[in-house]
Amino acid sequence: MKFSEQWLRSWIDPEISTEELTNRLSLAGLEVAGFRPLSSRVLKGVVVGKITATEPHPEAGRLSITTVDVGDESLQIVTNLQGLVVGQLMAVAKPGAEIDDLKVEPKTLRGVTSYGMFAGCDTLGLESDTELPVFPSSVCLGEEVLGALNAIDQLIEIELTANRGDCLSIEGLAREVAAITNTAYEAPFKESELSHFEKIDDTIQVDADDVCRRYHGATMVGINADAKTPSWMKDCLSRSDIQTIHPVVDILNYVMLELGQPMHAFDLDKLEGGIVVRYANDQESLLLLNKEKVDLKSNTLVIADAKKPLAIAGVMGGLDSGVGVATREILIECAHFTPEGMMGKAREYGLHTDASHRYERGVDPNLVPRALARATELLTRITGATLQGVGRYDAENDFPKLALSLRLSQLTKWLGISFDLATVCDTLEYLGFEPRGREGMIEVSVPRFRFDVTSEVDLIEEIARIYGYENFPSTLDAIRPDIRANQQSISEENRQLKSKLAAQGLKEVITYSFQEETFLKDLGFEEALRLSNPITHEMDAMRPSILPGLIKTYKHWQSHGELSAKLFEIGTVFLNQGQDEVSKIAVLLAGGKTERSWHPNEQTAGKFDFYDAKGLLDGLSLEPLTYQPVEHHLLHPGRSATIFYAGMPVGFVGVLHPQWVKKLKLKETPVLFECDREPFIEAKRARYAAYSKFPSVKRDLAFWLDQEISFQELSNTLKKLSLEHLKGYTVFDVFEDKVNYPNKKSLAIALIFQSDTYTLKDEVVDKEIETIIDVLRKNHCVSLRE
Amino acid sequence: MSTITLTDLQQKFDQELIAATTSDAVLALKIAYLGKKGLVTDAFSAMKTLDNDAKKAFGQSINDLKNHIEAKIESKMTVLEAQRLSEKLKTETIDVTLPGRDFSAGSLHPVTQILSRIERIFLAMGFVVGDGPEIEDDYHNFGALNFAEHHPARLSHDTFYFDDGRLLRTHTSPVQIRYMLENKPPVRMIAPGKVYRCDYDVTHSPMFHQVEGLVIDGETNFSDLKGLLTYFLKSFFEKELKVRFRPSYFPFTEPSCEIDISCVICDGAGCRVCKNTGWLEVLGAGMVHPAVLSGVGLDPEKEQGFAFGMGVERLAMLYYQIDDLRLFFENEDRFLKQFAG
Repeated sequence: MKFSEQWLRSWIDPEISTEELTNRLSLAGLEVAGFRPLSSRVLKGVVVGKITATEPHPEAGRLSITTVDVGDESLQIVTNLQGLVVGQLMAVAKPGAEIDDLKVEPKTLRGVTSYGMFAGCDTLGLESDTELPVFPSSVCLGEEVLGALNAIDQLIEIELTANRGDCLSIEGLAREVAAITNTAYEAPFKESELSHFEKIDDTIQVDADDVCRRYHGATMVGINADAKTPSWMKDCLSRSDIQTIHPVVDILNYVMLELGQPMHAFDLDKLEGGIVVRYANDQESLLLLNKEKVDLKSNTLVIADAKKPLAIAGVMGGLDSGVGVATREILIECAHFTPEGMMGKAREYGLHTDASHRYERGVDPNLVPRALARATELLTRITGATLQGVGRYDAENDFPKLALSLRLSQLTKWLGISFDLATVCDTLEYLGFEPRGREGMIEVSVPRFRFDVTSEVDLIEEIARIYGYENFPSTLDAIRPDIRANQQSISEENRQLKSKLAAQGLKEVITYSFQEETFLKDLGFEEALRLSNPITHEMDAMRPSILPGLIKTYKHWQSHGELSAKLFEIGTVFLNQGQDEVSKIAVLLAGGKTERSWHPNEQTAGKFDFYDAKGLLDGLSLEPLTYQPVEHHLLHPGRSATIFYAGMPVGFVGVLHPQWVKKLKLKETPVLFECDREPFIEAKRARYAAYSKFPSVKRDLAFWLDQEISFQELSNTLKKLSLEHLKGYTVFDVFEDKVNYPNKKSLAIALIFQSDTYTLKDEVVDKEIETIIDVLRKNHCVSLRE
Repeated sequence: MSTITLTDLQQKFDQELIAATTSDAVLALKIAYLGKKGLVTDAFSAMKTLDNDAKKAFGQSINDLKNHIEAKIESKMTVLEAQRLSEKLKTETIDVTLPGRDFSAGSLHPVTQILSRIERIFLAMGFVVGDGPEIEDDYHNFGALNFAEHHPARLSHDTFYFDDGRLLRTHTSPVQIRYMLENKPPVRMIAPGKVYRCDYDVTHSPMFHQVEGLVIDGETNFSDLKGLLTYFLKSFFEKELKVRFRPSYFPFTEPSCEIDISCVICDGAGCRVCKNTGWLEVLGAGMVHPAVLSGVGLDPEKEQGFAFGMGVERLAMLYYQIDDLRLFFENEDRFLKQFAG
């Protein structure tokens, strides 16, 4: 809500500066987004003057020489402004005047001296439709212009929270200022009443009294065709960013800003029969004031006459029945629609209006007769219209106020400090509540404009915010040691895992949880969970895997020349239509393992391949992992494996399929894995186990075997042997000799033998080696290499 | 008896040792004097011919000579070895200013680092770290948090929906509900995580991170809220910041507040980051609404406390002076490597 400070101060004028006022409003929960002077310039010595004579410049056709009366003297001013007439009031910057940093000096123009200059609205820093300021006739010559134009004002903008619809008016703001400054406010006009007008029920028929609780309509005739919106009203409206349109509309907007009640005027000539408040019928449509034609939905409340809908209730009127230049007779609508009934209605039509904004947040039903009286009084005064009658529909005879109790003890318990009864009652009273205190308990009657106050704790908040949050102590009593705080959280587990990966040189990325569905499909991921309302088609499906995001990131890296990448992400993937959220760790390795090296022996340090990814997995895992070849749509069919942990598949690792490398135009082939977190975080608490103090014996074996036999098969055979002293083995050489040993490969393994209880003798080791060779020969047809 | 005296022998050795400039020459000299057929060994044979007294004196002299030679040889060897080493090392000189071999550590995403920082502070205050799903239902994300149907506060959340009515959580607050349903008070919990809003521009990302916090313990009150969050903010920024509590509105807390700190860039003097206000909004908080408490089966007359929430990227931007929210999820190398520390 944006408003003129001057307007607010006409209701309540505490002796505090604009800065102080706005600061205190912010600290009371009405957040001031900003304020600025109406004129954007600093003016000094710019005054009102009256032209007393004007003649053309003898030397220059486009210039005129004017004589201007500025009260205490007469000045000769040369100007290029056209069409100036004697008697015209002007803004005059006298010699010595200052406009921001500009100092005005006498100046000679083609031989004639100009003692000062005229200032247009632009120069004065005022927004206006006219080039020159228009002064009211009552001004004094020589008066400072901003004062004369009533333009010494600050524009204050408040960002109201959704619960404070009651502050969407000058009166609502005045009430807040009253409470924070302990001063009463007073309306700057005399309240009038229309109760002497008889109730004419038959002109208004309400078929939806669940939403429309009140509908008053005032009929006015004889609107003067020459009526003009007064400048003071225009100022108020424009300073709230509301355009002036037509005196009738302007007056209704003015009262809405002043009191908070939205109203609407129908042209009586366009109405056929009385007003009906009803739900729209199927097939009905309405051309709205914004010139958009909408098909009405059957759950939409409309204001209609006997034949047609005229307006969407509480949102926007129709163009055809609206007020125009030819309008002479009007029906003023002043109604109460419940917030429950209005919520989301404007949005259904893509609309958001001043009226819908207020109704959704709640407008005081008791405001209806008061606002209508204020509006008709202004209409009579400004447009010369005569009030003919008032039709009224009231769903209730009176609109009762909610009664709440506030315990002082609860106030203390909730806020941490104690309050005395009188202070609490005063605060509530300033805010429009009716409190009655007795022995630690206050019975509170809640005004109808406070839709947000429905329970004791709402009253506690009122006391807290007016008392000022800054005035509460800061205590540390909420801190308590707790042994549960030492428990490992998922967050902590992930962090440890991330640190290990970073220590290996990998960089952590965080990619979006949503991906482009077509991109996922292209990569072979079917049935990702789609968003109903994605922000863009590039983010329309929940990721079933982190890898597409990593691949995209790598492609992005490549686009600015980074071909070598070691990336990881730990995050949630969404499987089974989002029924399962699984935390995964994903890694992408691509390009050279190290930066290009100057060292002669390391010109080609090697590129990442399958075994780098696998080695990383094994290094991170706390328990041994096993691998089985697998075909995965993302991966090279001969270079991909399922990862097993404790007998269960937990992920996959492999080289990105060449078809994706080609399609995505990747310059290097990435190696990837995606895996559950379990193998890396399910650390049992370490238990010390005694180790052998006797020396170990190392023996190497090298042999030829069939190409198809996997190392895993050999390894399983060795495990099955359960040799007493064989502690472990590693592969240290693999090669092929296609000429002499086609379809074969040579494998060299290093075997480690050790006893826990004695120093091994060669004969013992020899015997176990023999067993190993025997069984490898028998099971896998290996031949020993010499 | 040989023709030369022991004194002559020593002089001869001393001269020959000076002439020996390689370790081989010195070793040859050692053999020539102290070897089985060496000159000193020879001299011992002359002893047989002497009487007992003379024998003793001669024995003493020849031992002295032997010790002299051994000591001299050892020290000469040391000198030669040092010379040899220093000459060898001279040939091994490298250009120490050439770049080292690539051994760089990776990096943790700044969001991860800020989350650790936040969690560390709360763990030390006795909080546990909780979590919850990112796809939520209406009940946990809104209903249980006292958001009325169609309320403008709900609309302001710009929610991502799925066709079956589920949604992406718009805040980490649903974890409050899940945690209270599963754990009895006293509760001290924070819940970090991803949240989603249908909004995308320089200052809004459709995905970002929040940390939720919840304390429910007997008579924990608004002053405790102020104290704890003030402590957290000072601790996080390691600075005696000014902290300002402003009333605000969240359906699930009452009273609610937004919390500003004096600008960490300009110390409150006014700058571009704080839009010349001197203040930065960093937290939202409030006393947990009694309706939320009773909704999870707690008696608001017996249990009360406060909740708070903070945007992780917001804190990261202030901590690292990052000026564009979008950088976090572009994951450029040039961005990430700045946080390798």
